[in-house]
Amino acid sequence: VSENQPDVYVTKNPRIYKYHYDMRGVAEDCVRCSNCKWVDPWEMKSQRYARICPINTHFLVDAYSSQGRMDIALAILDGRLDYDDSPMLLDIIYVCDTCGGCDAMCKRNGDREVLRVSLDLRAQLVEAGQILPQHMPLLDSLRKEDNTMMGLRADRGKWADGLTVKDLTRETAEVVFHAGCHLSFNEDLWPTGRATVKLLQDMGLDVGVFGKDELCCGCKLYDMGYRGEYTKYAESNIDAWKTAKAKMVVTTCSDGYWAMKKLYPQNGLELPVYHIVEFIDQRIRENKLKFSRSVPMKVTYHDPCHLGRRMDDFEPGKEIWGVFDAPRDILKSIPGLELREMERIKENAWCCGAGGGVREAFPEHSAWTAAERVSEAIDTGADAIVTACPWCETNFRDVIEERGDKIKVYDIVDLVSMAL
Amino acid sequence: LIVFITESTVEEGKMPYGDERHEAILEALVEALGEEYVFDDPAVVECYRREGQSSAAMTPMNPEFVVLPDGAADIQAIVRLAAELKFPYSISSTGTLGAGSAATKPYWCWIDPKRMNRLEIDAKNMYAIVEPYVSHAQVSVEARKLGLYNANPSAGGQTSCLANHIALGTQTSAFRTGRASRNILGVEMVLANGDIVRTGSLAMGDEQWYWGEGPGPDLRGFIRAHMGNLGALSITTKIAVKLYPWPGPGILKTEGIAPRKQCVLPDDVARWFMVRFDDPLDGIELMREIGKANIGMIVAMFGPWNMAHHYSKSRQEHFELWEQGFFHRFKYSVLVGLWAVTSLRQLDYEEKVLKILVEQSKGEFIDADLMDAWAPYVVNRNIIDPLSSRAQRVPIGTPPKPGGGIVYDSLSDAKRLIPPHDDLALWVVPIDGGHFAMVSAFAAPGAGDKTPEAEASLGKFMMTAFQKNMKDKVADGNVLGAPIHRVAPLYGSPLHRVALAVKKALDMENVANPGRFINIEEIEKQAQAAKEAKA
Repeated sequence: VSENQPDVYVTKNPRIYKYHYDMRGVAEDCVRCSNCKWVDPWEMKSQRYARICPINTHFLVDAYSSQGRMDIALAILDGRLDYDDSPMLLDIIYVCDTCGGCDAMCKRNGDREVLRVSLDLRAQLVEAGQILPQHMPLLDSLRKEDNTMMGLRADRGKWADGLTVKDLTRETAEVVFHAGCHLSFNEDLWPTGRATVKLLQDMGLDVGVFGKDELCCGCKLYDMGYRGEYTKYAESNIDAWKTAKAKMVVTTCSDGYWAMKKLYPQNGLELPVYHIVEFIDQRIRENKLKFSRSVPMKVTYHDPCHLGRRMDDFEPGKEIWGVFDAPRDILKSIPGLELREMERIKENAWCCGAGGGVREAFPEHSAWTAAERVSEAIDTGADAIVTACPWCETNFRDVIEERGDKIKVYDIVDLVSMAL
Repeated sequence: LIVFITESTVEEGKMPYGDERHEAILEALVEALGEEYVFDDPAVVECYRREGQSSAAMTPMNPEFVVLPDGAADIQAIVRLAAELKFPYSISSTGTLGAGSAATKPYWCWIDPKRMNRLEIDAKNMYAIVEPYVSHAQVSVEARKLGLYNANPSAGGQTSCLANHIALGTQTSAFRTGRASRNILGVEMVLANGDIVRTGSLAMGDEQWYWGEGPGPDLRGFIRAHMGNLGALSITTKIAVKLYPWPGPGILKTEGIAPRKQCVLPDDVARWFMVRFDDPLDGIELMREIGKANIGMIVAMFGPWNMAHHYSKSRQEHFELWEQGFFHRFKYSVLVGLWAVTSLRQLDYEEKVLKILVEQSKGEFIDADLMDAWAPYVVNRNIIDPLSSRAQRVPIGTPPKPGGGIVYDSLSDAKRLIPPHDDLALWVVPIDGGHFAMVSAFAAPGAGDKTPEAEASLGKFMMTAFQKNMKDKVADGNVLGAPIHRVAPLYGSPLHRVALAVKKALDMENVANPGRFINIEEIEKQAQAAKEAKA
């Protein structure tokens, strides 16, 4: 027994010391503890809202969980599971919202970045030609019109019609406002985009937009596993911003923010990227933005996954990082407004169901996930759900309309505009 | 370090998907449960290939079916179909640290009870009725809102409350709340022959869950003997769990973001103390005195390894602290939690008594600044989420002592520290730093002498399994189940023969998690060999 020298094993185990990510290592390291399915027990507030993984809660079997994806990843890596063996494989892999709830819990419990394994697995599937048929319309839309919304390229800039804002295809500006695909093609969201531009201008900033020539950020492509296509968009955007002599990029889209802030630096981006909430919060702190009107409303805040826990740069032992406080601080500073927190917040937040290509490919599951969140929001007694992402906003609005709920949905910029 | 032992013969090879027998079983299961609750897709069954942390120690094998029953009637249907169509089955709920449910034979059906997730709390009579897929954290939070405490048997908050209770858990409040097995009141189970049995007061009908024993002989042994929580003799579908008074708030206030989350309770709710000892026997003496004085709600002994892994926020931090010897200076420390269960005066009184007891002991309170730094990350874990995340993070299967001597040390500690109960041990869970060796003394009438040879043999067997895990590089955890014919004879117990008789009576086709815990062939072979030797 003494010859076994377990201490040597421990000290030399690279999975323990000097952490680095490796796909097989993380998958093998899964101890099937089930923490990826539940919110942090320290933050659990009821039996009803105890779960964190939408797919496991909805579809029940373990294949629909991070734990299951670790097993499937290993089976594929080991050649035990052929793509053709399983009629359910693609659905299982792609129905995940990539919300990262499992990831936060597994980082908390086991120093493991399980979402990276899921995303890498998707990239591997795409590489192997295993493409989900439901993704084809979205991919076609990107290839033909450079957007994820099946809209015409010519219509992309309509949201800004009539706005006095620099056209970055012809002019230069210090601040690029990236509207994103969803805001550009969803008329309900246009007021948010217009209000954001006005807000930035009122702050004295030199703002410009690309209008119909703006390109998709590529976030959805990355989450769906299309790394090559993502890179194309990242590099094109970076080049365009360089040509426009921009000094910073601002967006209201959490998906876009995540891609531009977390991924683009690997593609050569050197500009700072801000989500509008960070920008507003900073101005409030500097006393450069003051609210003059009361907004008498009870609201609850939904943490968009890409703005929240998915922003984390993992380092074992470090707090999971996300833009959690800025939106809350903004809401708390609006006169008359009362913030009522939902049970699952920050790193424990329940997803809106729109991420990872799920809204497009699995609309029923996407709506179910959103409905769970809307119910949680209603249970706070709030008049409105406030969020900071157009995808979340639309998914909630669709469900509310479908169910006939009375709760309203706002982007945080809308409330800021009301209070100014 | 938690090491169970198992051995099983896995019939290797890919499952024979699509043959006639498969189709017949599939059709029958679909008819019983509905198409949406029966799976045989290779990607789905792949995710039930292994249980707990035993992928190296037990050759993994995919089950052929995964089913999602909704209650006792569905389980009954599955069990009866299994006997009729002769397919093996097992059950596992949240799976945390679980072992002994993965397939070892063809046509295996894994029962996943995720639809069985109902929780009901009777606040007046202080119990919770739980189904298998209700987590400890769910019970705890709903109970706390009603001023009640779920004595989580030191499993994580994510663990099945039902499974953890029937698997004989112990907990840091055990001296006050009793062992988990004694907190089980009414039980509903489906025996391997398909009969539904309701025990205790539940047998009287009218949904009476308040009492655990009787009528007649106590049948609760069926729910766990042997490893019965995994379905070798029965499948437990619902239990009532006793709850205790909780003086604090329903929702505990936390600060920070995981993994640096802290929780401090108000001083008028709970007070925590840590008393350091050089010799664990002196610590045990204090624990005994605390029991005699009838004070405290949480009493547990921590050693350096446990202190480090509860405190650390990453694996690296844990091992760095360990190698620096940071917590070694605390030697063996007794954690005491005093709760204001009845009043603030009671809490003040208990603190006063504790201080007198400590003064009379050979221990000393650890420095306040160290306690203040350590406690916010650790102590309320005993209420919320005991032995969870951090036990999962740290390679709990890795012996902290050079040369891997912990198994022997722990067995030795068991003999030294817990007489005479070590004689009753059927399995030993050695945990360095506090637990020494928890000896689970369940149902071993007429236990014989425990010999040094038997002890060495057990230790060697455990270490062999352990080494295999290390070799296969999955030593980050290691939980294996113990076959009764291997362990009981080591202690001179005839329990394996009793188990054999019950198994054969209830499970004539040997389909209830066969071959692993109650291995009919092996026990009969053993009996034949003994008979021949005698002759």
